[in-house]
Amino acid sequence: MISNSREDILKRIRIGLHRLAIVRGGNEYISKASSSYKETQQKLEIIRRNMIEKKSFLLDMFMNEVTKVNGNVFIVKSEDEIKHYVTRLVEEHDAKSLAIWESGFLKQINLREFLEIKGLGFVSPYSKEQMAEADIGITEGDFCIAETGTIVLITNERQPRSISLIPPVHIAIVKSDEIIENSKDLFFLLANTVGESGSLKNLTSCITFITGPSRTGDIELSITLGVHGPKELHIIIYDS
Amino acid sequence: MENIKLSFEKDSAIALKNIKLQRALNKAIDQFRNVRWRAVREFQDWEQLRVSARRIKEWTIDHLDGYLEMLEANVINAGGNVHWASDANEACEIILDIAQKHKVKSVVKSKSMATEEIELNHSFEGAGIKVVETDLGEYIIQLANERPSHIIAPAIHKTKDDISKLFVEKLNTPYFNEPEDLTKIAREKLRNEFLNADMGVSGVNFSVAETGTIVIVENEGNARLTTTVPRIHVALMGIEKVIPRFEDLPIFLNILIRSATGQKMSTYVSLITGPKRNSDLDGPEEFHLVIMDNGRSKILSNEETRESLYCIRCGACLYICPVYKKVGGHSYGWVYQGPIGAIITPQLLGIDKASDLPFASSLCGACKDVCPVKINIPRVLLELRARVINDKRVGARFLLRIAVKLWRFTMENTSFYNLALRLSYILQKPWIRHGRLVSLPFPFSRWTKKRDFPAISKIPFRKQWKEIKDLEF
Ligand code: SF4
Repeated sequence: MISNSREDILKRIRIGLHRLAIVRGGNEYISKASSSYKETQQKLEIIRRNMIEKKSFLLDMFMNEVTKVNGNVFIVKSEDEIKHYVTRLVEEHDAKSLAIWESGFLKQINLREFLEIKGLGFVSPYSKEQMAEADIGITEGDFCIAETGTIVLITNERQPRSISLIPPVHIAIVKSDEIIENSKDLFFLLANTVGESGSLKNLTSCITFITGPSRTGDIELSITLGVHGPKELHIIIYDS
Repeated sequence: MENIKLSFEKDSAIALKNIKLQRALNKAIDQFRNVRWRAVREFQDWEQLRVSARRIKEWTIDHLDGYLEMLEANVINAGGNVHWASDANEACEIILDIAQKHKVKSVVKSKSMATEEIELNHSFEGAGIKVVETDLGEYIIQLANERPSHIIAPAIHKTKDDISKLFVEKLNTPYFNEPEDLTKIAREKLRNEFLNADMGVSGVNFSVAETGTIVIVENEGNARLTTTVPRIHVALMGIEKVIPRFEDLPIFLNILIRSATGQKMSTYVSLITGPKRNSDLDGPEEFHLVIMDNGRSKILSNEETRESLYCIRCGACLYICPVYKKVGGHSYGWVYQGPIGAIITPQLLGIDKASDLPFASSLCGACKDVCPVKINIPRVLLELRARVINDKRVGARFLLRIAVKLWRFTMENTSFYNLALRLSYILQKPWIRHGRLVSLPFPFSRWTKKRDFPAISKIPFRKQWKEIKDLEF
């Protein structure tokens, strides 16, 4: 079956717009809207400076918003405290089997090895059947949005998506200098940081925004947590 | 789809008598209105945001062919496949074809109005492929074999008792009456479906031409599971869903989410660009994007109604509409309800199949005020009404013209107007019940069959006004 639908649809649109040929509004609009290289760099600079200078303000706002959407937040000052807090959560949930990202910071603090010594098992996201058995998933936030209490996770070969999705409990470790004020600044940053994983020039297969645990209001509008995704979200903020 | 003929008049009369539905609607709608109001008020530049969103939509639709080509190129560039469907049948064929080529036995679906529009589930079932809705509301609706009654909250018309009984009957579970327990049952049942499914079908909230990214907004996580766990991911979008730039997304996420549920941000937002990369540990091996017209290019070709395509399906106009609040979603007869349904259904299905719908409005304009992309719904409704009337028989048109002429004459002649008013005041007496006019004789029965009318007052407003004015000012 050979279908001409592509051409048909484009032609119908063109005729509907009273045009004879395609007008690539696309690029024109894009370049008109984006500013010059220098302006972009300046704007990036401002956003980055804000992240540092307004850190404690953003931190408060972020924690406040996470709590509002039924997430748990916890500030820690050292790597040991991270391990301590994770251990506490593991014990509270009587967890046997975990899944964890092999990402930069988590590797650096050897969280997996630490937990393995404690006798915990790890499953691989390669197998969805195994993942379905995991009690807790541990990830690392790439960015946070203060205004909405959101963590942003960028999928790549070390950061699979199902670890923040399938286990009933999700622990995300974030750093306090990754908090951005609002989504507008975040998208600007993502769109203009060349070469970094997740940026526009190098978009990975998925970027996920997570704001609180999975929820539904589909039965008489009463909010129920954990309908499909994790029922609990714990965010550990590392503020060194 | 061809033999649909909707009857808002008949269906709404039934809904008005359904006390349980009235109660469910009242509760849900009041709650929604409050939450949304807060989310909008909280945002400083809401007006500015609406203006920006509207501008981007106008620009995109005016250059739609170019942006669709750009989107296609970038999806392919990211390793995905793109298919084009002129109508509902072709869209179903394409998706079924992908399923059959891969010997798919079972499919999981996340909520998507576009797939409702093409009745994709029928196609799958006809081909012997199991298909499961995974959004909790949609799952309930699928078990009950009904149609969603709201584009955001599909099961808004059902009570927890209804749902408990449904689960007992269809899933053989004990009777639980708490949302918490019911949700847990659904989670367990659906988990197995996710693990066994070969293919996931999702909708698209926005797609970004510049990057080939599709964006899905949700609270439950079922869309994430649908697009992560099965081997194949198919996403279906109408041609109007595309936006130009990645940087436009915060604008649209803000207006969509705040208008739809009153949240600042939904629980999950997924930005999906192509299938899993070779080095990724999970995610679908194949990604297919189906771009569907199904009547949309026809809407676009008429400048009077083109703005109907700017709709982002937030559902805000439903909550705000006094007619929707009384008659509920099912009265609109098809997948889109409320004010947006009243303008989009007749245009997509053909005006002859839904000729009641443009009249299912009091033209109060609340929808226009609330719409985040500023669609002038009342104006579009008037345009569609004109089309319905123009299609009518000559006789009917003649009568209508006489009636309007008479109306105009009355309004232009003060003494005749006063006389008519006095006369009506006297003549109305036998039909007054509690100060309202009910079941008037023909031709006024056309009005009172569905609704009453306040009785004409003894003292005309002009006189009343004089007194009020002196009192107050
Ligand atoms: S018409 Fe406007 S208010 Fe109604 S669903 Fe569409 S975008 Fe929302």
